[in-house]
Amino acid sequence: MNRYLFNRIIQSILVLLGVMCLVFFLLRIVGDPVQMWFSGRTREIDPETIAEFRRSMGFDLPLPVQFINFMRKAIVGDFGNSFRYKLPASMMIIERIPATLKLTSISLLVALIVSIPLGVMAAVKSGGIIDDIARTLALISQATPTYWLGLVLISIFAVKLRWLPSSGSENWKHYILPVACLALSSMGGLIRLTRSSVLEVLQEDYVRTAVSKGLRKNVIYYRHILVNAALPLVTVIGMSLGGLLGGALYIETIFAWPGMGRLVSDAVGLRDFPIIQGVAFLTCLIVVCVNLLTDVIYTFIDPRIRYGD
Amino acid sequence: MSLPSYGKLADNRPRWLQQLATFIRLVKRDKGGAFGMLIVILLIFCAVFANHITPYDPSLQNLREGKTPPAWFPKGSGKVTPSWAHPLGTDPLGRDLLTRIIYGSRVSLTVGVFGVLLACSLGLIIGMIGGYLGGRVDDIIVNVINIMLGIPYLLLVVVIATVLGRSLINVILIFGITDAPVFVRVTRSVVLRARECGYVEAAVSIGAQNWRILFEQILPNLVGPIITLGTLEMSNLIFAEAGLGFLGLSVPPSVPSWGNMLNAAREYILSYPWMAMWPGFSIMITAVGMNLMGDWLRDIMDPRQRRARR
Amino acid sequence: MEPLLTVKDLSVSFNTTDGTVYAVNNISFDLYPGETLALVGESGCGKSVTTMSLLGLIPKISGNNMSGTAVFNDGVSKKDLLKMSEEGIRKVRGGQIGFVFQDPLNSLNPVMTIGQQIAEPLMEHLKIDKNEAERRTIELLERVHIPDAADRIRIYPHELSGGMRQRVMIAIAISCSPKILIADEPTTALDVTIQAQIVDLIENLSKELNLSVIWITHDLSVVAGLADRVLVMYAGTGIEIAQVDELYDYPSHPYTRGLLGALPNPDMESSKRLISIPGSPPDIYTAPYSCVFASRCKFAFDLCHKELPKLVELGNNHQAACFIAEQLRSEYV
Repeated sequence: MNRYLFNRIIQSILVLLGVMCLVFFLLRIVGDPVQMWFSGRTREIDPETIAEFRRSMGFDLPLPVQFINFMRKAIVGDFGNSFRYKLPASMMIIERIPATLKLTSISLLVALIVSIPLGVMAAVKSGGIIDDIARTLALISQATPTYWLGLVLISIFAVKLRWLPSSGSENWKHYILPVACLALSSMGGLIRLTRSSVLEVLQEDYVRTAVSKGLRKNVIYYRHILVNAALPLVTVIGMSLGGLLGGALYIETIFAWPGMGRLVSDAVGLRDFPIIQGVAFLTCLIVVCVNLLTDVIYTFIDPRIRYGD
Repeated sequence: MSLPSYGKLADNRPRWLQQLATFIRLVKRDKGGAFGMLIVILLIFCAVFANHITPYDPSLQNLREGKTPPAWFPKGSGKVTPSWAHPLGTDPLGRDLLTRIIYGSRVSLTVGVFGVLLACSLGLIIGMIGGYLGGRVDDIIVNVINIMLGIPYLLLVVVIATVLGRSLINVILIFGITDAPVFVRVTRSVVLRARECGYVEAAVSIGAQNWRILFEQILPNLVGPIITLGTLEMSNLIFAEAGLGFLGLSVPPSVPSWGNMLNAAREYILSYPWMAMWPGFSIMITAVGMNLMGDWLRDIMDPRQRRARR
Repeated sequence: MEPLLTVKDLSVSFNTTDGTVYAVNNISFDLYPGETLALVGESGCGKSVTTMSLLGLIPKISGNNMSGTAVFNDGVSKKDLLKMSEEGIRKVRGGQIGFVFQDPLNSLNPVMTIGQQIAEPLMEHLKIDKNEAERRTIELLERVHIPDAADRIRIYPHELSGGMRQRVMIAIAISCSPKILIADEPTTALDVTIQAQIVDLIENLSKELNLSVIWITHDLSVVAGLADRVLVMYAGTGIEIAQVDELYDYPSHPYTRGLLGALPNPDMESSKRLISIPGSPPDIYTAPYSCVFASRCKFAFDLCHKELPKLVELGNNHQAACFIAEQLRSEYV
């Protein structure tokens, strides 16, 4: 195996460890989870109940011991029981993963199908009508808040026109609005990146060489330009998944989508920390894995990394 | 005697006039950038003079005029008839939406400006140390940065905000710290590039002190990239702050902010959709303005990129 | 003998955000079979634009203007390269005219093996299959003296040294046995020791294959050994053209004289200092209406600032665009 991939795997493990430390220490040092859990109550709660809760959750032990316990369990995916539902947090989260993954991957696919051809065409005919359209769309996409777009789409298509449902995830009709929101919000970055990386490659000397060899236009575009322009794109596709999972937090809340995003936004309101910790960790795990995967793909396309040390 | 020679005529105007002319030419060349700047100036104006230009107190409740639709809406749908007394309508508590939008720009701008300032100062210091010293220190910095950038941003912010609780200072701190890695990365790469340059090597070879090299030779290279990045990041932070507000995690609910207004409008989206429109539009216009201005600044600051864009 | 390529009144201008750039103005020259013509001038004088416009490598977008003719005689028919269809000029590129660029580092596609990159034009222009193309690729690599050619076809550009990459570029350029090879400062980016090897390689190839070479350079010292004729360019205009010996012995344009004066000479007494030309080339945002060199010329007089000098024949196929060229020429006799 080559050094580059090896380093990336080590780095990914560090990311995950970093997230676990962050989640743990933030909660235990900055605040007291037990206090926060009870703080929102209107009714006075007797100290005995609080102490009992603290003991049952293991929050009475010294901090280093708590940390070791937390890490030992977290490594096997155990984040303790949900404060609210008294069920294992990891179980509740895993149940929700498929819904979120379906939503985000479909959205990513839609975004890619629209933005890559558009970005390429915009770059090739730089300054033309398609370029203007692409740039305007990118600007709108980057300037429209996902959470607001969701509300707008609901009030138009679900309330005014009554064409599409505003919540749930039963059939394909339920997918249209949330997917449209998420796809549109990640399109801007993808269009801009495709456009600029194709423009950059167009300026490269090796493209001039390809032209001077008398190759056909299609050959130049597919074999010389697109392959090279795809290199930065591959990494960004991995990264935009992180953004999509973030956007899912809003979209799932707005459209009552039974995924991780809604679970966490409910948990945030309830200060249900095992759930928040679990989702934070699992989302990072997904993002890290996808990024690793894109790195593997990258090494397949780019010989400089494949044979480099 | 000077003969008219082939080539450009000499420019005899004073220096400041030439610079002004260049500036006007740049504005004319990229109308989008000028438009963006106009929006940003307007936004700053609103935020600074909010208490002078608004007709109402932002938290003044008037239940009898609650849920007033925007002035140009047709009559009859609700209990309260629309009027120009409340151009954008009111919320269920009867607070004037226009007033609250204008006051909301204060929160957004404060978070944007101070968040970016904090992120930028942290980024500059850490990036310059890493890029200039290199070695072990740099390795550690790079790894920490990569770890931070590897975490989905929004999730990170949500987790921290949940723990810290709702206050303006907390929001600024959260964004200032979580946004710093981007600045570290840019600073580091500029410093690394500058260190390779002949003039820095020359300064080192004549025995100039480290801090002098950093401030006199390397810092000027950073001005362009940092200003550009700062503008774009400001728009991102304003976005994210409103998002946090939407989830009920930003400034306290009593403070009029665009995010809080959206959060409040969520329950009424079916019956009073205009409540959600205004804060959304405000965020959008702000983001458009800052993005256009950021692109424009990048074009000016980095002429190499200009070619790639056109 | 009939010329292979006749360029007449070639002008190229670009529209940029800062105004129209007049990159090339009324350049004319002939290129004969088997000869090496050097285009010499400072960087930015329009040498590269001249040759790129011949192959239609100047993007045809509004604001870019090209005029003049460039008649290419391929032995069967004569055709004007500037007026050819996109499809027609494509067949000339790589097929009839090969191109070697300045920077071998970036001129090869980083994600394709060098074998694929050499085989591409072969398969395109000669319509041969993959195996045949591979056989010829190995031949070509041997021809440009790359050792272990059969193994090297499967490696990527970044695994080769700069000199080796430039050899690959040359192999690509000569792959389809072109009539003309355009070498755009092929040695500038290389080590001095490698430079000589590349110069030798191109010289030998041009003899073996009866190639006409257009050699672009800013370095007059390189020209002496390899060129048959020299065209000196300044600010987008051709100011002097002559056989190489004639030009070195009787430089008749003040700019050429300056260039030769700025050249280190091994015979020069150590007390003499290198002479440099004062001033810098003019901005090219206006079409020339007077002598382009006048503002830097020590001989300049009123007429030079008012009128554009034409190339005048000085005998011996030596032409110079200067009002006092004949006087300057006669100084040597």
